[in-house]
Amino acid sequence: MGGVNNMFKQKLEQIKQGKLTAEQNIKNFVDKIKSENKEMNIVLHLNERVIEDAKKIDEKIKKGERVGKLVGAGVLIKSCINVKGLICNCGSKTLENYKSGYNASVVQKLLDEDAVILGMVNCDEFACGSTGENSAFGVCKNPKVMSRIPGGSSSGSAAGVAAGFCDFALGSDTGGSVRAPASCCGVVGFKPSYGAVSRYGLIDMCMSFDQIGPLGECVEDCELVFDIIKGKDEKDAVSRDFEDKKKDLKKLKIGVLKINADKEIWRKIRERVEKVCNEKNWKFEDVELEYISLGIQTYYPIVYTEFFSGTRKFDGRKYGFKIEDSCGEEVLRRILGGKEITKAEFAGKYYRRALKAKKIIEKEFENAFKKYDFLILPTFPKLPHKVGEKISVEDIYDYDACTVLANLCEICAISVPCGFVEDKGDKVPVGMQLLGWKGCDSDLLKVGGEFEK
Amino acid sequence: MIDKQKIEKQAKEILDKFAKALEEVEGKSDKEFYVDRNEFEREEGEGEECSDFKKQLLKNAPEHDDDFIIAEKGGWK
Repeated sequence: MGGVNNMFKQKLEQIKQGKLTAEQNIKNFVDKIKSENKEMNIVLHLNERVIEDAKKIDEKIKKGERVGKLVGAGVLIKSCINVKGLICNCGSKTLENYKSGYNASVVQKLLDEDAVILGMVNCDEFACGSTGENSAFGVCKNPKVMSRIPGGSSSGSAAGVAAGFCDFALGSDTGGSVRAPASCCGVVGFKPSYGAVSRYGLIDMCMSFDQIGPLGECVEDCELVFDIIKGKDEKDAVSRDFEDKKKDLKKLKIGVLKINADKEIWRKIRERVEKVCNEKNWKFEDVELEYISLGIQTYYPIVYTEFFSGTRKFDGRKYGFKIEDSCGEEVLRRILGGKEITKAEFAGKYYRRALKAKKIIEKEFENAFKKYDFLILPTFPKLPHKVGEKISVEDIYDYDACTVLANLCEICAISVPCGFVEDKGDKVPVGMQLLGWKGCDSDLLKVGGEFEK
Repeated sequence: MIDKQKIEKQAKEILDKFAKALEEVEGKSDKEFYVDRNEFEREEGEGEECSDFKKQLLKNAPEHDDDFIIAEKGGWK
């Protein structure tokens, strides 16, 4: 399995064998970031110790000490995942000067495998957004199509990979925030099953849906990183080790999920599905689910409620500024909406109703996965708009229609590049999304590799 | 300058629209709708000490005095 030639793995091998130093690898990224970031606005804070950190790894190699699986790899981290000593501002003025006092568990796992943290990258404010335009520090550029949005909320993570600023990046996905920017920027983004990766050290947006995931040039890169960051962590009560459910990947049945999306996007995806499934002799057919059209209406009331609750700690006493006085419009909308919901008389109408719908959608997917091994649908239902174009709030929420389903059902999902669509003079990347049932992460990654070019 | 009232009204309108769309699910599920996490009960770990955590925490606080974060009186309501 595996779809593309893997340069990253070859590079890691070269570093291990001493043919390339970690310092040189990291220096190449630092030079590129320093020369291009002013225009791209991807990296918010470069790690000042980065060359020093790389040199320490080279010392280990020279001394013949055991080195980790990510020896000398350069990593960019979404600015809502804590890295000790670095500014973690969540793309917000609220935490503009907040310096992390500890490492998130995922960061520690990467460091234990000798990765080097290059810096912190741009994102929608407190991960609230699907476009990347909600960062208080300005939208970052989409390296694959500069006039279009990079997608969000992990905009800098996807753009960082696409720009060649790092070997891979970490993002967080609450309703598609890893997969959507991966689709817009033409890279791979993986959202693990809920609980498969520790969220300790992630500044939460909506704790029932948040999941940290890797973004890379190809599926194999994401697989390598996922194998390192996954697993139960005593610091995150919902993290767990999933039982390894291996499928027979020679005999797969794939459902193509009927959902509203742009005609050209669907054409690209259907072409790819037919090509790969025919080559691999996998069965595929269209599948219709009754309640998936309620994904957005189910997702947002839960997000508003939990986001309101989670942001009560930003009162301007322990760190930063009071959030209501310093945040942007989308963050304020979610806080005020959540505040409204938490009034006793509205809990039943909004929150409990949304939780009921969540259960129904989850059940529908559970039944679908009894019949199909994996489901396929677009990642982004429309072509990403041009930066600065006026879009209504609800139209922006609709960007999440294909991605929130995986978060509502707590299942794993991956976005892989699926070619380009010509639109108004732009060649716009398209992403194809594959969904797998809870705990089928490894198989999903293997199958995802077959669908990428 | 953000128009707080406008945003609040907009949030309420969006929520009302969503709640209306979800009316059809009322009574369709006999399952408990709350998120049950009992199977994920965690065992008490050994914990760890981080020598400079307190120093960093106090550095992040807008106002502090020795080992204490200073907060305004009567502002907790």
